[in-house]
Amino acid sequence: MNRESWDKRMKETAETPEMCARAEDLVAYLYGEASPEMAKDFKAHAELCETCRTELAAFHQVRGSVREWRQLSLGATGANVLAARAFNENASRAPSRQRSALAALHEFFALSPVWMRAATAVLTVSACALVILSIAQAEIRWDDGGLSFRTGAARERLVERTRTVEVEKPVKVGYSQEELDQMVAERVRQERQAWQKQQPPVKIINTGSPTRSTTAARNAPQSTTDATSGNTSRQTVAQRDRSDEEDLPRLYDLLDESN
Amino acid sequence: MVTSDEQIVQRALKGDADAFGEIVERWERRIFALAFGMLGREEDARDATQETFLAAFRGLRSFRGEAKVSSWLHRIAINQCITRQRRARVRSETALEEETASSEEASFLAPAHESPAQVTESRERTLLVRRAVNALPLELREVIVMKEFEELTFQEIADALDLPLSTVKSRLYTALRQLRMRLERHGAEAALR
Repeated sequence: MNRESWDKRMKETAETPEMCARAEDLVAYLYGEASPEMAKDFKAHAELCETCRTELAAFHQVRGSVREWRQLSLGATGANVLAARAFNENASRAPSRQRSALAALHEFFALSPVWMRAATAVLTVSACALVILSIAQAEIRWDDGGLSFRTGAARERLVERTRTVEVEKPVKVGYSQEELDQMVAERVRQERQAWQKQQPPVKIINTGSPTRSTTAARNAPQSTTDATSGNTSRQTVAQRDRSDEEDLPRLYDLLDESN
Repeated sequence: MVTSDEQIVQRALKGDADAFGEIVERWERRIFALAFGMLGREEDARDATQETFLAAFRGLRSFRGEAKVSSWLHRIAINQCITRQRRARVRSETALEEETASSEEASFLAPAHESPAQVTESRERTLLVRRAVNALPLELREVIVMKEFEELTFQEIADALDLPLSTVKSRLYTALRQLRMRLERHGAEAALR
């Protein structure tokens, strides 16, 4: 390149007017990152705008020089950079290629054997049934009455009915006369048994004739008393005391017995 | 099934020893290309790439998933490149000024079919481009390198640098404009010699 040509280019550079308002569009167009509409619009603009047209051509040259430097300096490494970029682009695109869960499930079933499909279907149905039963609060019972099945709604109705029945039942107030009589009789019987238990057992010692005579004597006055009207209770008590004394064993009887 | 970077990082956080290796394998070439574009020398780019992944591994616990893994790695890589350039400036051994002939040869792979004259011309042109790119301000250099070396989309660059899309476009436009100016100026100077 001779001096004249460089002088000419430098003159062009110096004469380059101020940057165009569409400088950012120019960069986007240069690097191929403009949308189709924007690219078309800018291309039309560049045909009319001297600044953009000149800069576009100059920037293409600059880019070529930088790329040449990169290619010559990095060589194989530069190629690796591009390969790495391709890898990363694929990696970044990968999520968009991910199948939906439904599609993956469909493919899994398509590839699985028949027995696995059947087993999965049974399991799925069972799981669904369990879920429905649990939601319905179902209760399955196997007892003497056989298999019974009730849902939560039915149980709630039954409980409600039971409550209603309990409420309608007449309240029992007090005791009937018969019950009272029975209670009194029972109480009297208990008191009598308790009194009898408290009494010391009477040791009856066989004393022969005197005992028999006392028994006769006890019976005699009672009949006499019954026969004679007008006797008082005091007399009766005195006679009983006397007869009790006669029932008590005599000292000499005891001594005789011990001897 | 292809797992995302974020999923791999989560595995690494849960103690999967191989997970971070997958991240390195997936990103090392692109990070190397970025570092090469930023630094201009293969050795520096390799070192910066290694340091990027070391820093990422050390800072794995601090990654909270608020940003993309790609953005996180790019940010680390760019910081590593900036740090290396600052160190190089301090030691006055920037890649361009102190580049030896051997390193020039090492980082230049001439096509076999070209004549010696064409190879020489390509080498000179490449050197011009490198200087022009390296002379760009950092904010312009990083977008042009990400676009031309990594071939990221505008949106990917915006995500990585946490910038609005329009800012990425305008920076790219300015970078191209400055590169054009520099290349034409250097070309004119070379032609004058």
